[in-house]
Amino acid sequence: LSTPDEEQIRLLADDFRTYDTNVDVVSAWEMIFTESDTDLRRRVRHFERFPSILAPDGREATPDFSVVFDSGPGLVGEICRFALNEESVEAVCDQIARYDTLRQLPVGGGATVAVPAVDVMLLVPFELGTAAVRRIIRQRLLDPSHRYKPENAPVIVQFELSRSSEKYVFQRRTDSGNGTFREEDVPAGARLSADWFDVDDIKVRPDRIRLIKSTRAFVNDPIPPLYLATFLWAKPFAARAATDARPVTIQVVPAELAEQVRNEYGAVRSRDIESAMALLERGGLAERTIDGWVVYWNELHRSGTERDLADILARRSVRPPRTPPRQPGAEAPDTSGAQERLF
Amino acid sequence: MLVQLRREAGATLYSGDFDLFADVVLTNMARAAFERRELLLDRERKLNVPVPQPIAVRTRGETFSRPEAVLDLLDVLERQRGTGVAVFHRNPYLHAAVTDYADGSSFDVFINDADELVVVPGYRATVGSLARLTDFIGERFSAVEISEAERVRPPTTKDLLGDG
Repeated sequence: LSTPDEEQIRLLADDFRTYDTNVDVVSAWEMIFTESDTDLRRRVRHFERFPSILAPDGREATPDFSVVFDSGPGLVGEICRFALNEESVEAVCDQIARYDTLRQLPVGGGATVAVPAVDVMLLVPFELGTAAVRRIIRQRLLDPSHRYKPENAPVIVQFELSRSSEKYVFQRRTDSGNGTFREEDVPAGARLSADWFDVDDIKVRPDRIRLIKSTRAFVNDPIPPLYLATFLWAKPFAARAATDARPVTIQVVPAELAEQVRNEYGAVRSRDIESAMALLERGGLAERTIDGWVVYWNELHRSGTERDLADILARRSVRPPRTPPRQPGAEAPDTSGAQERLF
Repeated sequence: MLVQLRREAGATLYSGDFDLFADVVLTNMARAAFERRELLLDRERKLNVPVPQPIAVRTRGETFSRPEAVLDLLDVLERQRGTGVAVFHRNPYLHAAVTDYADGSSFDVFINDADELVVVPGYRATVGSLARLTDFIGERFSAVEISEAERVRPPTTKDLLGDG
């Protein structure tokens, strides 16, 4: 492969890893807020992993998770990464400034409940923690001339998966100006700031989140095409392909497949499916039809330096094989929409 | 009495008392096979139903403490005929989706401990496929037990501020 091809593969793999880390981080907080044997969990009324909330500005807000407690302010969590350029940090501030204005949060079944205020927990990788405090708190929140002026300062929490302890570690930055959770009326022992972050770092062993991760495989962000394509190939497509014929032709209508995967694993949108199908198409494994896509599902095995299915799909999407996706002599995909749909 | 016992393919009586062979060997083998089938039955996920408890393959000692052992696992799984492997997380813990290309079953496989591999069956997970996967891993890594995974005790505040 040429260097530009390798660079494309590296970028696909980076997006894949970053998204998987986000799945772990949200799963860790889901475990804390819904399964832990703690006074904090006992004051949680509802944890929402896939919130979609109408903000006061009339637009939808989709933080990475939200929590309604039995009283007091709600909480929204947002995993954040930003680039060196200033526009990137401005976009983060605009996003979390909107979250600060939310006055209703989901309580399940499509219902919402009014909350007096919302605290924003901004989760950043350890390597961005210091920059987050400097660029969001000092250079914007504390600068009188800057427009970013939320009701409550965001609570910047840095995280990492420690290689030595093999745990996720969450650490609230103690810099002046960083936010604290508004928990004045919360009983001692159940306060996230005073009883948790002010005492020690929060640690979560990965084995505590494996069932959550298996059952809710996604987070509330657009899914990287490689991540979703790999997931679809290994799970729902495979389940539909228990036959001796190879390749197996699978008709995909994005909205229908999105609904199936959403019901089984959580927030997947039609546009996520479209992006994943486009990646498979580049790899010669799918073709667009009049009402969706046709996938040529097959057993994919490693060759050369390929490490696993995700690596195979990444490499194929960048450098497709010369052989066409269909079996020799097979009919072209039905573009009339008359074929039986599997999804 | 001359008997050959095999780990995978049963037993052979070459000479001796057949009644004793049937009572001692065949009966216990049948019971073990029945118990294994009962263990692996109905592990498929179903929509809007609590997830069945995963299956654990326990090994002796620190089998998976070395990174090479995890690589070896992924390698032998991938080389097994009709099996696909997609790694979602590699280090310091393993999370991979293992697909049985023959019947469309899929499983999430986790290694969080040096002596345990946990299999979480997906929406399609036949008994035969789950048996093939757990038997293969058990054979390859000299499992001492294949059983229902222990439920992870919900952590207390002390746990989460301590060892996790």
